Amino acid sequence: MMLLDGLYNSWFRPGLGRPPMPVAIVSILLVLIVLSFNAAGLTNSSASGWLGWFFLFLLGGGVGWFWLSAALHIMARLLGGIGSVTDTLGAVAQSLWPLILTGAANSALKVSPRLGLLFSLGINLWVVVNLVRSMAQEHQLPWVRALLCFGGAIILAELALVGLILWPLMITLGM
Amino acid sequence: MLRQDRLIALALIVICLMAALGNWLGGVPAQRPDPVARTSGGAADVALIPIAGVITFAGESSPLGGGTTAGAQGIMRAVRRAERDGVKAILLNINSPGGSAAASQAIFEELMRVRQKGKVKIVATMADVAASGGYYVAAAADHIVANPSTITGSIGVIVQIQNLTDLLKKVGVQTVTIKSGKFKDIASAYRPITPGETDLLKSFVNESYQQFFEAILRGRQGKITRAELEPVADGRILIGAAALDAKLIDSLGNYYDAVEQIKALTKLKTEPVIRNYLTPDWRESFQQLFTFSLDQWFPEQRLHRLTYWNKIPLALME
Repeated sequence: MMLLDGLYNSWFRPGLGRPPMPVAIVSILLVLIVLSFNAAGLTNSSASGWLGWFFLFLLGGGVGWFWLSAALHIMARLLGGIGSVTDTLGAVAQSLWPLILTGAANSALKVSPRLGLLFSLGINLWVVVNLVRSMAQEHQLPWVRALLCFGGAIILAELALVGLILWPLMITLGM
Repeated sequence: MLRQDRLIALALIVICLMAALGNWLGGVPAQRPDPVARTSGGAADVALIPIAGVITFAGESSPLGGGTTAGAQGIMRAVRRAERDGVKAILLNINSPGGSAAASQAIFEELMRVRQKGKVKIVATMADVAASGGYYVAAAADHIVANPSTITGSIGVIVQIQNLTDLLKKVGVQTVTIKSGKFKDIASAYRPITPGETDLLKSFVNESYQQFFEAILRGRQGKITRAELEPVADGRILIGAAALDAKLIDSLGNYYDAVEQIKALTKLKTEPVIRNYLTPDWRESFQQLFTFSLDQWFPEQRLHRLTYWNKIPLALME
């Protein structure tokens, strides 16, 4: 019951603050299970294939979480944010929960492709709104700066990726 | 009674998980743009059944899907599923050097059963190699397509026995055998073969070969005669072009030519929707989920266990 309360508050009343650790873990696990089911369906994987997707997403999700959180945190600090790294990590994790609806969106895609696409678009927008709102809340930023923080973080993350590719190339070719 | 907020959270979790589970078990809807095999669910015109690797009854698969040997059980199940789904054709994509006679025969008979009903056309396409047991299976097809360089033929049965007595004598190993009948340790590597055993194995090989030979004649009825088959059924391997001359196959080409052949046989006007039927359905997926063993992840473990059993003198092993 406590878990259900926690999940409800985390999803629909984010203003109440960050959820306790078990609630956050369950929420993240639900997202991972749904996403891996979707991927397994798309590739018609067997049960063991689904497990493979799950662990791949667990690893990829973890790396992506740190990556996005780092970019958001740098941008938030540059724009005058006051939250800690833990606050940013929590904000990002908490904002991703609408992704559990992607299972339903994929199902809707079978009934009506337009409806399914609209549903998917809605989910993505919801995640972005959640991220902006939670960054504004955790770092006490006005919403315009929070929005800038998000946009800047995306650009920063992409640039960092380019840098990760270019640096080894530069060192290898330059040496 | 559950509070409303708890009920909403619970309902949301259940609905989302069920929808995602449905996506996994049901796959995505089939489409028709090109004749490339889909691995997803939905109605299909053609059931693709890949037969790759050594043909055995059980077959072996890696934990993340895909097989290392072709399992007759899985292939026969796929044929049944395809028939039940009412597909127009079965496309066998064979890349196998052969395998167990019983497993190849089981697949052949299952395919012939479907073919004789006349509702489903069967086309076989050969990749690198479709020899011996691989050809046995292909013989059940209405039409066989092979690449000009595909290795095929090898129609025959073989039993090989090693005699390790001299080697074991050199290292001072003696084997003691206690048996219930004179043929119980037939094909033992720990002593020379006896004339009685040679005769027995010869009759076994001949009988098995005769079954193989007759199966090919039955599968390729009207395409090859007994007199035409006999000279090429001596165990020789042939390349695709020679196999066409020997009437072991029907045409030269690749996978896409086989698809065209299916279109001609089934009178399909549009590109057929092809679905891989060897991937497990939802029941089999659940079965695998609850029965997967450590052996799948750690094959060495099974080897260790077999080694252990081999040390027990009274084990009932062939």
